[in-house]
Amino acid sequence: MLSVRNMQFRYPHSPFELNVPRFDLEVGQHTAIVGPSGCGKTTFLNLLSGIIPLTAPSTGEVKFRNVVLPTAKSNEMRRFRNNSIGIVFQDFRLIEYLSLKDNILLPVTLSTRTQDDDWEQRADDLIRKVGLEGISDRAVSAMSRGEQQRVAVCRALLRRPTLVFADEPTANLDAKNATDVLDLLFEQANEIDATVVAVTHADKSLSRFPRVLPFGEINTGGNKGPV
Amino acid sequence: MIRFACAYLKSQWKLVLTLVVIIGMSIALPVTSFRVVARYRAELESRSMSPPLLIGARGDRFDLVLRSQFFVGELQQSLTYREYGRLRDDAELVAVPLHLVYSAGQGNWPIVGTNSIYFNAQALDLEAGQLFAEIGTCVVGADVAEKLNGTTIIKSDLQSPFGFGEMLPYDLRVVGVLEKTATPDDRAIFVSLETAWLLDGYGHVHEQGDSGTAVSRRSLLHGVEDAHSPLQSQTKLDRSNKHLIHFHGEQLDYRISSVAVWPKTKEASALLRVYYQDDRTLQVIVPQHEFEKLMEHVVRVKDVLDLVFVILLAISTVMVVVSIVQSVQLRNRHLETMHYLGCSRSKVRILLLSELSIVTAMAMLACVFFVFLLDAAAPSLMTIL
Repeated sequence: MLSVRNMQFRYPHSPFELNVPRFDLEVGQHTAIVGPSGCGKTTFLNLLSGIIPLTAPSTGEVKFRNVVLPTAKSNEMRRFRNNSIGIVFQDFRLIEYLSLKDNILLPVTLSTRTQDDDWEQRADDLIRKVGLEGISDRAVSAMSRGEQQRVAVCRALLRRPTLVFADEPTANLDAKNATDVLDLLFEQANEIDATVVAVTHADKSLSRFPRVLPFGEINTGGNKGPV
Repeated sequence: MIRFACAYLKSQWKLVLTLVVIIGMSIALPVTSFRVVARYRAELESRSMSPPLLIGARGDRFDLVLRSQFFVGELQQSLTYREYGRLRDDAELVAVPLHLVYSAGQGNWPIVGTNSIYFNAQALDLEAGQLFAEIGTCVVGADVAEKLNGTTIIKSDLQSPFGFGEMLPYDLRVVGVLEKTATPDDRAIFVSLETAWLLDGYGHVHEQGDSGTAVSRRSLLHGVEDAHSPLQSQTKLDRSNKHLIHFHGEQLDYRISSVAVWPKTKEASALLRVYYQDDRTLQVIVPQHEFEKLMEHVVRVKDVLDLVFVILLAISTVMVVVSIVQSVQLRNRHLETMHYLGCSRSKVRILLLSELSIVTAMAMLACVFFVFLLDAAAPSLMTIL
């Protein structure tokens, strides 16, 4: 489903270097990529999702079905991010002044071709499943971090993506909230046949993933310094 | 998109309010200034034509025009009723005496002593009642009538501009109301010359047994043979004491402020101006000429105001642009997130444009509100200016 070939990336004026000769992901193969903070896990995830462009001087190729980075056009890239992947950001990236429901509906509202589905109903279902019904009009700035994390997961799952990238999905959460978020993530991903790729350094959550890859095994180029 | 735009603007209401006020005011101020000056000009221009000539004692020409035509300011000089007599007898002229010394309503309503010819000459019609037929009665302009709200008695102000006269508040009974004309006549109280002279102290009402005292040196009757000041003057005039009203001295020597003249022909106008050209005590004024001089000053003030408004507008524009740029920069993370979630740049632009459009629409509404507000306050502002 997703393949990476000969990926080489470095930030300007930084000793950090990422070198991934090969990385493959099959459908339904929920994968956890583990490694210490600052080793480049988030950079890798951002390169996979196209958030960081794989353009010169970086080299390599990320292929997802018929979308090939970095050669995909901007329209293709937008559709890819909007339709095929869901992203749970480490810091949630919720929009504080919008309500819980508006945040979840954001990928639909921002899309140009999504008016034909009943996304409101889908959002309400997700809200109910994560136990946030009754407060859907509340601004996210007035919610706890655990609640905000659940909203971020709902937003990533709304469009029924094929791939869900989760960056430290349980970071900063207590044990109970972390379990709840992972339960939700896997339950919903399985329901829509999505594959989860999560980067994490939380040991407790690793047992939930059928595939756990140390980042050092992926990044063979050698990390010459922190990101 | 509109919902998103509204949500953002709601979250930034203080900034939005500031922008709305700044933009609204920046537009409202020059618009109001233009409207007020245009209206002021139109009002002055139309009034300056009627009457076409004014005759008064030599002195400040502006004061004579402002007091005689607009009933504002003070007029130090006066002429006698005798002078009016000469003009009245000229068949080529329509001459109206004006006595413009007193006021009522704490100075807000000038009391204009005149005769019935004034109403014909100025094309003033009665909306209700009749013209003043008796001493102590008055006809009020539409604005005064509105303020009176049905009250039929007006007390004249105590203060005499010249510091002499009886200095007593007389009761003036309203017998007529004029139709609204949008001229200074709307805020004036019209009385007969006799009533005005009563306020001057040339005449008075007292009990028959009240032989009074000698007139003071400050009185207009000082030096008049047989004149006296009553011990107890009556200021409420009605049927019971109407027969007791009496005047002292020679009526032809009583003062008036000016004479408004409507010449029937150009020749009559020219002759009148020539007649008074070398007069040492009286002068003929063409109000329109004085108005043009006045407008030159107004236009000069307006030019300065316009420059101030341009500077203000430039400052406001810079402030608005800086606020918007800063706001976009602060929201860069939000806009970035939208991009990460698959939002096109055009959608982001539409969102920002929607926000800007809403702020602009609100600013326009605020502008309309400010224009109405400033328009309403304009008369007071013009008075201050």
